[in-house]
Amino acid sequence: MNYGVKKAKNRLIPFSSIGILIVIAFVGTMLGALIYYSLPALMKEGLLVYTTNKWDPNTNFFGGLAAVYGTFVVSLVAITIAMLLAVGSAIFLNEFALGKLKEFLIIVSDLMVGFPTVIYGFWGLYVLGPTLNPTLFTWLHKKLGFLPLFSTTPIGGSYLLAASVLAIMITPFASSLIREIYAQVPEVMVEGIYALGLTRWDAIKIKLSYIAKSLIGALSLALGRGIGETMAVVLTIGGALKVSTSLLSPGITIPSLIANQFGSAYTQIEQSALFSLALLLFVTGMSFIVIAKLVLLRGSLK
Amino acid sequence: MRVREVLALTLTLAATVFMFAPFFWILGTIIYKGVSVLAKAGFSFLVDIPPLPGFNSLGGIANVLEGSLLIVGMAIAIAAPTSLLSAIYITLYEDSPIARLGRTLLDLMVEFPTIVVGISVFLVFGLTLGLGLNALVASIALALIMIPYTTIQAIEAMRVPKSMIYEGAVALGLRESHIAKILLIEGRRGVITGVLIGMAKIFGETAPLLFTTTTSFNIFANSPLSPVSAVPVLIYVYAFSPYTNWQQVAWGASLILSLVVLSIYLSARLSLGKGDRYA
Repeated sequence: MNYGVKKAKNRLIPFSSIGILIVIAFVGTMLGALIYYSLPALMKEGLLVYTTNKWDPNTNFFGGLAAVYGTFVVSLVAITIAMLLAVGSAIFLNEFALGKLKEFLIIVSDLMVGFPTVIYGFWGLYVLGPTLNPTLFTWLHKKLGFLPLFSTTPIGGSYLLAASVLAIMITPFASSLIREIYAQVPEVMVEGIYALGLTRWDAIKIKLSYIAKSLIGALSLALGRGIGETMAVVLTIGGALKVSTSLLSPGITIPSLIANQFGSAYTQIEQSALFSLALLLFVTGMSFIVIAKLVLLRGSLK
Repeated sequence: MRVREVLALTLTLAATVFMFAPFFWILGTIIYKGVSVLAKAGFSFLVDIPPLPGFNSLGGIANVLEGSLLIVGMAIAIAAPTSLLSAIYITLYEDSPIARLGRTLLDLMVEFPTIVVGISVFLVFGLTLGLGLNALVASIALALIMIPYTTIQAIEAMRVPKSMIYEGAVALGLRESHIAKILLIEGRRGVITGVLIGMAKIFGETAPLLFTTTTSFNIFANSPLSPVSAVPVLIYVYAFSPYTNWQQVAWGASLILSLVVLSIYLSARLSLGKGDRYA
């Protein structure tokens, strides 16, 4: 809304704009610096820095394929687990949970979103890993070991352990998004469903198909958030610089490679290779976020 | 048809249990392990420095806690005024190009991978400007993570008061600073909540500190420009270490960090009215 008065005030950039201008300038400078420091590796090795599986200080060649692959695998497995739990729990909270219970669970869910990620990782390393490795993971290996997916013996950290911890962390966030989308199904429609004499099962099915598009947005947003997660994954992934088809094998992701190698990267090219991986992570993560926001804006969420 | 209803309830209840159970498991673990460490170490856990590796002693986390408080405090000192000013501008001039760009950027900043924020701040301030690893650089990284949360929350808090008073205030010829003051007073609960949420968020934040703090956990930071270490980084390094006494210190530190973060979140929750939600 434009009023004559406001227009007159807009002639000068007002003092209060200084806050947001500083933020814009900071973020611009930071991204510029990240690109600038990524250039040496990108110019020397080109895209090989992303597509070669070799991290070799002796020949001064650094390719982070293992990390790119690991990031992809861990995110994919985590988002699959998280979406199942998030959709299920969002339906439960909206359809079945009553007053106090719902209120309590929503508070807990918000706490889970904000809980320090390093503690999730610490717990994953010392409690979840030692619990799942000799039980569920060994069982998977014994029963389904003929599949490449479970072909290695589970010891210590692995893609699957990191993905499990990551799923635990992003489920509450995905769940709260879906809860809000789900609650926005128009009341008229819900009344229509029950007026037709349909059951709650049918109602849930119809509502889910109604919000399907927004669900993709929520999925993309949770994926964008999960892909950059560092602490929980670095503690549970095992830190092996290799590409393995087995989910039970240790691996590495981009953030965990950076966290592991940053302190010991002495040559300019090695540092630059880490920065160029961070740049890839940033661009990929932000793409998911932007897609998510576009889908959600067009979908049922305002 | 009744069967399907029961099936829907069972499946969604199972998903809900699997979603929440790990968190209670985590809390249980931290309380169980943390309390036994704190009981063994006693009060000195809060006043001693961390122990040598491999010995039987537990020492404490006093200096690391001081480091965390210092960088979080400095981050708030940077982030709170910047956020309030940004929120006021974006609320009052929501149609201006700067406000629109700013709002879009803030929405994206919430989702920036924090490790990338840490690296970029290190590159600009630590490396290019030559500040190295110190408390100021660490607090800039934390401030950049806090700003989007606090600003967006403040914008939301001022939206309703603005729609109620803006026309009247302009008609009365009030100056911008007066209008801003009224908006801040009217939206204070939401604004405070935003600051608290941002504070809880950065207190447990670890990844950006890997590039901006030191892992020598036995120093006290005595100025804003001296090297500093922080509780979450200690947990990370000690968790990975092979020494039992360091792992125990990490459990104790986790308990303290959880208590701090959870109590900030719960006070944020209380400072909001019933039914309000935060982002």
